[in-house]
Amino acid sequence: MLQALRLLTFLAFVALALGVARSRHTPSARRWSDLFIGYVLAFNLFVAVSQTDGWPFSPYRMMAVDSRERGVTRSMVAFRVVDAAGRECDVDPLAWSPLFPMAVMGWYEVRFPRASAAERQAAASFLLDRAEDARRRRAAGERVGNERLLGPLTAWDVNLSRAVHVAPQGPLVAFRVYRLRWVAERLLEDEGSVQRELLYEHRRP
Amino acid sequence: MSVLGRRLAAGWEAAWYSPADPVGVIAARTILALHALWLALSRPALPDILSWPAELWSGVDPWLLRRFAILGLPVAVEQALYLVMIAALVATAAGIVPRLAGLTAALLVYHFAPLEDILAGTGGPFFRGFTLAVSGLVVLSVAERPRRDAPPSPEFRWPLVIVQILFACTYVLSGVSKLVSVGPAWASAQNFEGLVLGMVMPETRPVLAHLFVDQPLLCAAGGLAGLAMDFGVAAAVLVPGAWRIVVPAVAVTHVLIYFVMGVFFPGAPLLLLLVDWPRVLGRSHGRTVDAPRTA
Repeated sequence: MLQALRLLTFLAFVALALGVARSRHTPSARRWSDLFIGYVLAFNLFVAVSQTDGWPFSPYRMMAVDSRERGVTRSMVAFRVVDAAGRECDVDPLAWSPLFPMAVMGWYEVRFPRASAAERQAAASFLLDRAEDARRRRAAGERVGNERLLGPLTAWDVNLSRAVHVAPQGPLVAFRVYRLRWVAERLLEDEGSVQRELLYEHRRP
Repeated sequence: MSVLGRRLAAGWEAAWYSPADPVGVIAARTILALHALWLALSRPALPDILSWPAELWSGVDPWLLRRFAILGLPVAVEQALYLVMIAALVATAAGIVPRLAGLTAALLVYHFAPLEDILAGTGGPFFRGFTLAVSGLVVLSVAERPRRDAPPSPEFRWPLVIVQILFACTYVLSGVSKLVSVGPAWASAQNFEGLVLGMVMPETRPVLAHLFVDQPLLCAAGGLAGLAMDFGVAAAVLVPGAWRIVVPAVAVTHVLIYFVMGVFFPGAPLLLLLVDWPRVLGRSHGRTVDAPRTA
């Protein structure tokens, strides 16, 4: 229901804008533009005070976190694919375009724990197919995913993505999802301090 | 009306309705449209997400879909609408039927932008760059159509100021969120070091992050610079000429953030909205001086 209210706030924004357009060159023009300006200011104030989403109005809660605690164990999900030779390789960061890996990680963080076995399998099978398609395109010298039109001028993702350190040599046969746990202070000194737990594996039938 | 009321009314009038050169609105419209076009062409297959397996969509709130008018149209129709959006952005940037094109583009961006993180997120694509294209283009699409040879008018002032305020909000409200969530301690060396450490991951590591570890002075400077950037952007809107310092300073800070924290701001090119384009193009003085003389 909250989403419906948010939709209403956007519709109100557009309706007031159209009111400004319709009233142009009439005696009520200034009243409409005042009302429109007032709505924009008031709604921005509201999302800032309430710290709630009203996209395209937002409190922009980026980095708004308390990070003073030290030695915290952090975690994330990570993806790997396995090629026909049995080698575990990196996924092309553009394989799941238009989504970047971070958005797919979000699905595994939020939805995966509640997904049924069939849903998990369908998701993994799809992601493996897309990774294989990207591998084939790279091997053929083609541009992949989001870089298809603009090449190096493509807008990056907000977050960094893991580069391909180990590229697959042939068709992909499996997709793996890991849970990684680490302490940042230790990771800076020792790459091997990361704990890796296999969350899910999907193999082609 | 009381003295205070009259002063407030005069301040409101000066802030929103003092005559302005049309080039400011033309520049804002062009910058917003070109920026959104860059993002749209950087995600050419955005509508294809709608054809992804239903299993990936199963957890998405149906009201979230309705909110963004994701109504189960055939993917081919969505792809056609995406092309319409791109054409509308091109027309807006080129000044071809800019108001109709701008409104069309804004509404279609509103529809497509959330697809970037709708599968796992619960709200809009706050930091993926499209936000201002929606609100800003709605504002500019209902403003008086600016023509380069038009005289200065209040109708070229208030739409530009709204767009600049909306852009400044991306920084100022971010600063407010930090203070609401953590308080002034957000800018402490300890917190800033923790934020940098939070971006050091097994899969990715910002190239300059290690320089900030166990460096309290550097971290304190980083924390203060972060809040200064967030609130300093307001100065570019409120203080004439401040953009000359604010715009380059914030641009440099974005570059540093990328190397220290690995965070890229797709909206950073929109800093150009804060530039006083009539002055840069040598128009504002000529316009305001000429107008009374010929009257």
